[in-house]
Amino acid sequence: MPCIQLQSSDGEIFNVEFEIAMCSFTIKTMMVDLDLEDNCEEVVPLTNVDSNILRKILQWANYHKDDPEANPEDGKPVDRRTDNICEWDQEFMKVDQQTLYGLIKAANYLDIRGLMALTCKTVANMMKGKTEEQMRKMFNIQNDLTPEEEQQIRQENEWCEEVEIVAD
Amino acid sequence: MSFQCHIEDLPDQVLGHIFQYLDRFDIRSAMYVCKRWDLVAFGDGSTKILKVFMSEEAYRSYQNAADMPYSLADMVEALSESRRAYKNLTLVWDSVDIDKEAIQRILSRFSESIVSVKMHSCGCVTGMQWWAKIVNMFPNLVHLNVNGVFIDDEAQQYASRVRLEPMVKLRTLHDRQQLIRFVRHASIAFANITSLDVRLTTEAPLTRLFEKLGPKLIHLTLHTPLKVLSVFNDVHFPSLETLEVISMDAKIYRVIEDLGGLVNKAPILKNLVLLARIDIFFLQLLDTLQGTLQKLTIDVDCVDSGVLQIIGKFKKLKDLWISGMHHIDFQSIENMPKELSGVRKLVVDCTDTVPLSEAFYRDCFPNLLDLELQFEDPDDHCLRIVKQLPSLRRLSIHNPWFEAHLERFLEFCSKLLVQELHVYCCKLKLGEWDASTSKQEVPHLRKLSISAIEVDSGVYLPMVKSMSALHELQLALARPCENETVRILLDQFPRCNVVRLRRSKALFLSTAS
Repeated sequence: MPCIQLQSSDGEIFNVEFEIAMCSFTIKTMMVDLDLEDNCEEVVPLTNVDSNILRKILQWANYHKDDPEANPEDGKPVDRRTDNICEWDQEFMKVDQQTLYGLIKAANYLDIRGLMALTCKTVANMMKGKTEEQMRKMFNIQNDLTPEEEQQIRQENEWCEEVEIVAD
Repeated sequence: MSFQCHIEDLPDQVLGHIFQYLDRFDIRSAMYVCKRWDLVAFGDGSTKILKVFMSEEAYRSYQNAADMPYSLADMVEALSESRRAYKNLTLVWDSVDIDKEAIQRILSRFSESIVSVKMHSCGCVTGMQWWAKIVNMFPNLVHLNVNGVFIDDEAQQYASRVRLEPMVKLRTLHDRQQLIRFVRHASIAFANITSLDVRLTTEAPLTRLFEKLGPKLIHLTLHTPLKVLSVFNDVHFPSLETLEVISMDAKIYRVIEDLGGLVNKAPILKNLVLLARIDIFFLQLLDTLQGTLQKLTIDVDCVDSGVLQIIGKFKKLKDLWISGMHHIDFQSIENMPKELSGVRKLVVDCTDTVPLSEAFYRDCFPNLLDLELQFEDPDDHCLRIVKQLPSLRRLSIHNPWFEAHLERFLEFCSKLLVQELHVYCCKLKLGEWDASTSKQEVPHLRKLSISAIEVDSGVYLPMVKSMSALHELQLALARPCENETVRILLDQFPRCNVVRLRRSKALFLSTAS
C-alpha cells in the first residue's frame, strides 16, 4: 500500500496510506500539482495542524475511507440536517471544545468535507434551542454590543425575516 | 483551559457554515450574541428579507396588534441607520397616505444591493408613475413580484404607459395586476425573463409582446379566462418546461383548441398544471406530451377509468395531482388501468369528496412513494388505504381532526407503516394523557411534520419519546414552539432534529416551489 508522510506543525511525522490522505482535497491537489504521486520519500509539512489534531483526523479518515466521495460540483442543496450523525461519529465527537475547534480549523484548511460537515453540525447542535445569553455562556463569548447597537439589531430585525430553507 | 482555540478563532466563513444548520429562531438568538456573530449571521443577505411597511395600517394588518413593539417612525429611524446590504425586499402598503419621500430615502440606501422585490398591497390604488419610480430604483433586480397593486383610474382610462429602464438582469416576473400592459416597450424592459407569472383579463394588444418573450420562457403561469389564450396563437415556446394555466372558467368547450394549441407549441414541456375545469376530450389533445410529461396537475370534471387511461399514456409521469371540488367516480371503475405504475407521487386535493375505494390506490398506483390526501377523520379508512401501498414512504393528511389529542394521535401513528408523516391540523392537545398507562409506541416514523395553530407544550416530550426512530420534527405553528422546549427536547433526544418553520410556508407542501 503506497504511503505518504505528513508532518504536523510540532514536527511529528505520520506515515499515512495514500488512500486515506486523499480525503483531504488540499493534499490531493498538492499531490497532483507537485507530481508527488509516485514519490513516497517526500515529507508534506502541514504547518497549521498539530500532532494531536492530525492523529484524530487520521483516525476519522481511516474509519470513513470507504465512504462515497462527495462531488463538490454536483449542485446538490446543502444537507442542513444535524441529526444524521452516525454512532461512531457521535462517539468521535466527544471531545473538549478546544479540540473541536482545532478539528474544524484543520478540516477547513485540509478541505475534508465530511469532517467539516460533522464538526459544524456538532457545534450547531450545541447552539440549538439556546438564548443569546446561554450561547455566550456555552462558548465563553463576551458581549461587545453596546445597548444602542443591540437596540439597532433588534429594531432592524423587526423589519427583517429569514428566508425558509427546508431540509429534505 | 487554554484560549488557543476558541470559537472566535474560526474564520467567518466557517462560522457562517455552522449557522447554516440553525433554524430561523436559533439564528435570531445568534445575532444578539456579539458584533461578529451578528455580521456573520446576516452573511451576504441572501437569506434575509427586508420588509418595508408604507403605512401604519399595513403594518397593523400584517402583524398581530399584540406583537407590535415598534412604530413606523421607528422603522424609518432604524433603517436609515442600517449598515446591512439587503438583497430581498418586500414592500407592504395598505392605504394612500404614504410618506413617499421617507420611503424613497430608505429604499435608496439599498438600491444597489437589492436583487428581489415583492410588492404587496391589500387593496389600495397605486399610481403607475410611483410604481415605476420604485422599480427604476433597483438596477440589479433579478426577481420582481407585483401582487395586489391596483392601478390608478387615470392610467386605466387613458392606457397611459410608464417607462421602465431596461431590466437586463431580470429573470422572474410575477405580475398579477396586468402591469405589463402599462409599461412602454415591455418587451425591451423585460427582455431577459425566463419565468413569467401573469394575470390577463383581456386580449388587448399583447400578441407581439409574447412573440418576443416566448422563446426564452422556461416557466409560464397564466391566470386568465381561457378565451384570452388566443393571444398565444402565434407564440412558440421552444424552452418551456413548466406551463400552468389557472382559470375558473366554466365554459371551456369553445376554446379548448386554444389551450391544446398552446400546449402543442411547447415541445419539451415536463410539468403541466391545469386548474381549469377540463374534460376528457381536452385530455386527448395532449397526445404530443406523451414522451415528455413528468408532472401533471389536473382539475377534471370527473375522474373515471377513461381519464386514468389517458393519463396512463404519459410514460414518464411521476407526479400526479388531482385537484378541485369534483366527482371522482372510483366505484364505477371496473377495469383499473395498469399504466399508472410509474407514478411516485399522488395528491388528491378534493374538498368535498373523500376518495373512497382503497382498491383504486392498490390497482392504479402500486409504486407510490408519496401520497397527499384530505381527511376529516382519517383513522380507519386512511389506514386501509395505506395498507394497500407497501412502497409508500410519505403520507400527508390535510384537515384531520379539528383538535387532535395525543393518545389518539399516537394510536393512529402506531398503526401507520410510513416513515414520514405530515399533518395539517388545527391543534394538537395533551388531552387526558397519562404517561403511566399509555403504551403507544411508534417505531416506524422517522420524520414528522406538524402544521397547526398550536401544539400543547406538554405534547412534545411524550410524543418524541414514543416515536423511538424519529429523527426530524418539523413544526410550522402559528404559535411557535418556545426555545426552552426545543432545548429540553434536544437535550433529552439528541437523535431528533427540531426545525421550526413559518406556518404559511408549510401549509401546502406540494405547491411550494
